[in-house]
Amino acid sequence: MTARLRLVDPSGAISDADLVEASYRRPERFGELYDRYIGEIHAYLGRRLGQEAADDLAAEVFLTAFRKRTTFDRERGEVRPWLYGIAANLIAVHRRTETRKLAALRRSAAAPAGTDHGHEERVVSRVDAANEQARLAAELQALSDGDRDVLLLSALGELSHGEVAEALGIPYGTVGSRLSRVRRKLRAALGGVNPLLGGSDG
Amino acid sequence: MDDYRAVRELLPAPPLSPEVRRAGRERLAGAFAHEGVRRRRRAARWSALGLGLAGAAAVALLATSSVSPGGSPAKHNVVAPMSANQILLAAATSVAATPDAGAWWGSKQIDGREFYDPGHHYLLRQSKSMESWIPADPEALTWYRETYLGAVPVSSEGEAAWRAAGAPSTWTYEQGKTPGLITDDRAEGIVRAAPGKPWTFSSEDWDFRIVLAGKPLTRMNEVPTTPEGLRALFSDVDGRALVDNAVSLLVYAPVTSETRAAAYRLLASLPGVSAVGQVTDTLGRTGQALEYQSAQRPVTEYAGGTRTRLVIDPATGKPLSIETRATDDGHLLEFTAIQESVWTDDNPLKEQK
Repeated sequence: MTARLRLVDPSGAISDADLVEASYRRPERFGELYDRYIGEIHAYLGRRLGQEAADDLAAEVFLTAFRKRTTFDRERGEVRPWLYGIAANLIAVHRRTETRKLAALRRSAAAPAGTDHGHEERVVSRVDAANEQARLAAELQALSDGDRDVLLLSALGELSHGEVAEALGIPYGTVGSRLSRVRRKLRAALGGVNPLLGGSDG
Repeated sequence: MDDYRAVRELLPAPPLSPEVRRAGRERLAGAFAHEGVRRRRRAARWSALGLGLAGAAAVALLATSSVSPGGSPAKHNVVAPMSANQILLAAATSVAATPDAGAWWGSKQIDGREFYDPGHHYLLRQSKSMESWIPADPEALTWYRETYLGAVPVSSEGEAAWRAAGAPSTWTYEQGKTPGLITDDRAEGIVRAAPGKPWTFSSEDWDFRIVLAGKPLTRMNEVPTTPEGLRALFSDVDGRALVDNAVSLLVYAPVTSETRAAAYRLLASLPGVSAVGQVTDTLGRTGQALEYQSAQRPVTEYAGGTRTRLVIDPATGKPLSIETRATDDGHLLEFTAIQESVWTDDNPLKEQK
């Protein structure tokens, strides 16, 4: 408990973890973390839940983090995955928004507007791409909540395996096994119909 | 197409408008300001703390525990092993009789970690002492004295291995993988054998006042004095965190002896708290040990499961140590040993400055 009280010289570029600790005494220091991460947290929420929900919820992530700041333990990880973990918890209570978004994507991708003109070839490749997007959206929608969280923290949040484990509070090994299983499914969905489009390894 | 790129293209990021960014920042600023207000309001209520206490003339029922400086275990005649419930209820009775009048809640604890040297040949114990004086008056500052106590090989075999390795006075670990306590050297990957100088400082301490259950204890003199009341206070946390919170309150918070007794009784009513029997803690004191599964995640360096052990002195009702141990073989990972904790009128640190 008291180990958290060590404060660090605020001159120079203060680390995220030091900012959290500095905010114990001076709450306004927490605002600097907002400035550092609001962009990517909003982007992550927006990619998953859509702009409207992201606009509503992004600040909520930081308010929650601020209220729980004394429970942040720098020895157990970094501030960034901690914030993503809080975002993941918020997303969990908005699952239906995410499901609706994916369902809408699936439908709109599967039925592209036919008003565009162009070479036959380009139309075909556009339809292929649209089909591919529809399959991908369907695949994402079909994933279990836990699998989707792991995949999207990795693919969209660009968290490392270790950071995903921290954010979700699950074992490191579980992250690896879930990811490889999920990515196999995605690649099958993407490359299954036209293998020529697939191939590159992430 | 690369699957990750496909996912990112399927789910593009919407723009963050300056208005939304600014509105969020303002909401957060509101929370900062609110916290300041809460702190000032608490002032009036805090003055009642430290006055009240249950005079229940309780008799210490048990004498199975006492300081044993040599670290030798158990010379006492224990008739039968006590159950977790018996230990906790005895401690509750004892602690309820502890005087709790005073202007300061003073405590001295030793925090330590055990881990291997970089070559993995012997085990090191690193520790520091932290003395803290928390005022009953919420407007007053909390005083601390922190002293790095150094790192030493744990056993005689460990010491032999350390000598064989040339008796190093520092150990250098791979960057980012340095085990142990947070020290000035840690960022450089260094663990130092030599003790450091005491460092005295004061601050507005927020830690204990808001950390419990992640919610503010805004009215410390209204902290419940019954197990049911504490359970309601922590009602929005899951069962495992309930144990952690009861232990935190018991060990760290400046609450009345009556509340501490209630915390023991609450622990006695919770499943998953089991008796280990008589043990010797890291300071060589004997006490009765209880174990439970903490809801807090294990220390970074250790990948396996852990159990948390609370060592208490049932005769005085004082908590002696909190230890985190590996589930499989029980080896010690980290500990906090409470050397002293008392309500008193004098704060020696404040006098020194």
